Amino acid sequence: MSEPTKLSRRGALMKLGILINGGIAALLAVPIVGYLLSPLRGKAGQDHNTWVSLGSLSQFPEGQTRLATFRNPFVSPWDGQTADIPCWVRHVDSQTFQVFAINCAHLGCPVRWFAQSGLFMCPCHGGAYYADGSRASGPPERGLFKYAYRIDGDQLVIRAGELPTLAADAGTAAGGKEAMRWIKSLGEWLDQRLQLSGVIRETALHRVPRSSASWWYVFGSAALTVFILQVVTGIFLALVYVPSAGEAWNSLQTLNHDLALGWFLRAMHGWGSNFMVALVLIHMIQVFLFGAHKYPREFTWTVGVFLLLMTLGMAFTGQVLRFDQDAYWGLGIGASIMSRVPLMGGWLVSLLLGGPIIAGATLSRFFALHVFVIPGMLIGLVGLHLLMVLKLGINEWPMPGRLVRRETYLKEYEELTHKDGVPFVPDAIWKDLIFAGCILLAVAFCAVILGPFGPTGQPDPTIIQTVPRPDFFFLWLYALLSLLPPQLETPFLLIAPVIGIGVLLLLPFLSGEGEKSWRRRPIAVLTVLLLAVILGTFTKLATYTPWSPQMNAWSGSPVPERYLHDRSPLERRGALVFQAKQCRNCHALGDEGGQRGPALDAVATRLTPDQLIRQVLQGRGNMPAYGKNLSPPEVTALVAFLTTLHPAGQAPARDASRPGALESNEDRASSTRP
Amino acid sequence: MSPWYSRSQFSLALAETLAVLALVGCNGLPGRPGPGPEVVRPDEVLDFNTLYKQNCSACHGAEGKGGAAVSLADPVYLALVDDATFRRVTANGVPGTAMPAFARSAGGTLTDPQIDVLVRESRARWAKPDALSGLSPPPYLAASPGDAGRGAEVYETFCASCHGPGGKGREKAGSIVDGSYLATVSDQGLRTTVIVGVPDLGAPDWRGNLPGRPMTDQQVSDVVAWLAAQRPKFPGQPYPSGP
Repeated sequence: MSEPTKLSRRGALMKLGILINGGIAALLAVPIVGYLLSPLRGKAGQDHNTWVSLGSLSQFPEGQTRLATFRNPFVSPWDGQTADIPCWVRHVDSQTFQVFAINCAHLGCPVRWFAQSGLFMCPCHGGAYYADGSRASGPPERGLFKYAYRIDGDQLVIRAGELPTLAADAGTAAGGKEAMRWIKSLGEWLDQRLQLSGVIRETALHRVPRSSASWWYVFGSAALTVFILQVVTGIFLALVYVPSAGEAWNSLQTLNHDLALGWFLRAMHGWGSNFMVALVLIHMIQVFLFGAHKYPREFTWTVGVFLLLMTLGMAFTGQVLRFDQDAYWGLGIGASIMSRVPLMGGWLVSLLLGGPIIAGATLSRFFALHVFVIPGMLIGLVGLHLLMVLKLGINEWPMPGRLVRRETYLKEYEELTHKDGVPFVPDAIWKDLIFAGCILLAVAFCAVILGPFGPTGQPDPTIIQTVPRPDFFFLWLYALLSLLPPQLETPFLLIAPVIGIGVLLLLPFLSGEGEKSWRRRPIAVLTVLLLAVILGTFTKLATYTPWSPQMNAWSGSPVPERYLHDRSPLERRGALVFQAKQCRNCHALGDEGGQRGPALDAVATRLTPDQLIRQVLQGRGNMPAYGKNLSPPEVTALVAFLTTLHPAGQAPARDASRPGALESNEDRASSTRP
Repeated sequence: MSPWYSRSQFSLALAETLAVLALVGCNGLPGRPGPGPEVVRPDEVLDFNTLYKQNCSACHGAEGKGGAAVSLADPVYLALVDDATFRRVTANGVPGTAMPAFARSAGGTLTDPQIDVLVRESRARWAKPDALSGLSPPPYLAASPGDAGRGAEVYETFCASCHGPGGKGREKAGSIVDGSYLATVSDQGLRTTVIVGVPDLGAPDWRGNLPGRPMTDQQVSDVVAWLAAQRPKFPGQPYPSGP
């Protein structure tokens, strides 16, 4: 009689314990989840935009375009200078204005106005807009974003408050019971494969195939070592770093200049990040080429794919925490990409930024991601990854012709480790230890010799004389976004990652059996080579960005003196037009200037004067039409200068019909004279 | 004191010394960031070389000469132009010509202190006190309007030997009456060029056209008036047609 009451009391107490724990967890979750989702609520309930004054009308002379700055109406106390937002004001005529956002409609970088050529130009991918904000050339699909304005007395007032992006209004939430059922079946499936119980019993003394105690098998453990380095250096950096938009940049200056070896710590963390991305990629390629993703290690691969994504996530969020100009505009690019998602774009942008603009809340969000969320998941998944390696055994050296079959593999592997196995410690681990040590030394070497990354200029959006560049590992994406045809960008940005990640995740399930050796898998080898060449080429291109206009070339790159000597006054005038109208920003002379358009050192051998005039007036391809922006004498002077640009021994291009046309023109003119 | 104890003390001292040396040595490591932020705010750059390179060198030449626009490193030009004019032109540009406005107040990117640095340092570097060897040039601004009729005669006297009859150019110098040329240069620009010449190309200043006969203020004004009168109504037509 007493036995059952005892049991039920124990049961009741346990239920009470769960209830209390769950209740406290729920209580804690309310403010956190509520805060995280507050921008979404704000978006639905109330508009972030409000009327802000840009100051007196007299600052904006009629017929001109001027930079103006306003304080964003919705600010957090720690937004600092990030809440100072610039915009371009064009005074069309007496009461008509146009107020353009500073952000390029392509990816949100700051556009600059060049009054001389009457163009807005973006420094990154070369978007260009005419004076009225309409698209002139380059990848943007539309014109510049405009603020609504009104005139209050002598004040110009605009409606602003949110980072302008392509996103439409908020979309709808998704969800469903189907997902729960799916997750449940996935969970069952997972548990079958993970075999979590008893895994820990396996120790360092588990036997590994003698063939896998190889120098080719050291990249994973090296990546783990660098990850530990990142955790340790990261904790120390967090002791000084202030995750506030107003203070982050200053705290990095303190680390760089005021703390003993603070710069070294930053350099180790920064270079550690580059090494970790590289090691994870190399590890992945090695695993793929050695067929280690095949049965029964499919899930080890899948977890590895998530580890890769998280490593890249850490790299991106880390770049944001270095809160400088690149980080600020990099966030703008992130928001621009998010805003392209159909229906949910606006939502995602708010979720990313934590508010209506890139400011303090954005940085706090990325700080939480970089310091808590992603590392937490990384640690968990790394543990899982390691457990699976222990439990399932290290992949044996692939022998051509030895095929993987689900029915027989496990037995074969067991025999192999018994017959020709060695204990992991010390027979295999010493190579891992030595390689990891070398990698740490290499990180330290780079840190000592090359120093920390940035921070570059202050994250002040009103400093628009900046050329945002992503960190090394995203350079390929930067190149891709310049080279894709504009209409393909959105589909590519939204679909390609899904397909890419999907293929990676499904790979071991599609080719889980068969040949392991790369000697018998030519398609696998070619795929790796192709991807490596593509990524390498894009990265290389992005280091010198031939598609970017050189924003200072028009005023900072002298015309080579040999092109000015023995030239007529008109031709020298043309050289001035060439510089003053910013032609140099896209066209190089004497290897200086932009590479967006062709170099013009020998243009006269390619185009006749008439063709030059047509090209200047009408533009073509990536070149804006200058017909509205240059006067006839300016065009004549410019073309006179361009026709002198040919090598000494090579005659300029000539239109045989031109003298005839001129003659007949004169004949007609003289015949009509009385 | 046992020998073992003293050895341990010695190694401790050695380790401390090494640590201190390492810390001191770290200050000289190549990766250590230099003083100050890596990127200075663009509106706080006050170094003349940087400002000149970024904003002026494209048209006025790398070292103030050899460019397509007027040579700033020409002592004669600097003697002709006072600081107020130099500053006004830099800040506000010259409408109708290729010289843009650089001051923020006029739509440019430079702050007032930055323009002050450009004006002050240009003079400090390139001006020479004896540039005019005691002669006083015609004033920068014309004192009285010129007369185009007299200007034609002045032209034949002082300029035609190089620029050819009627200004249409010859081997030594190109046409100065080309409609497009005249349409893209201001009257003041013509006057300045007549006074200071084009030293890069060997074109003499107002003293050197006829040896021993410097041009007077009135002669300069007249020849500029004559040049201005050559501006066509519709310049820059590549296919001239009709009467």
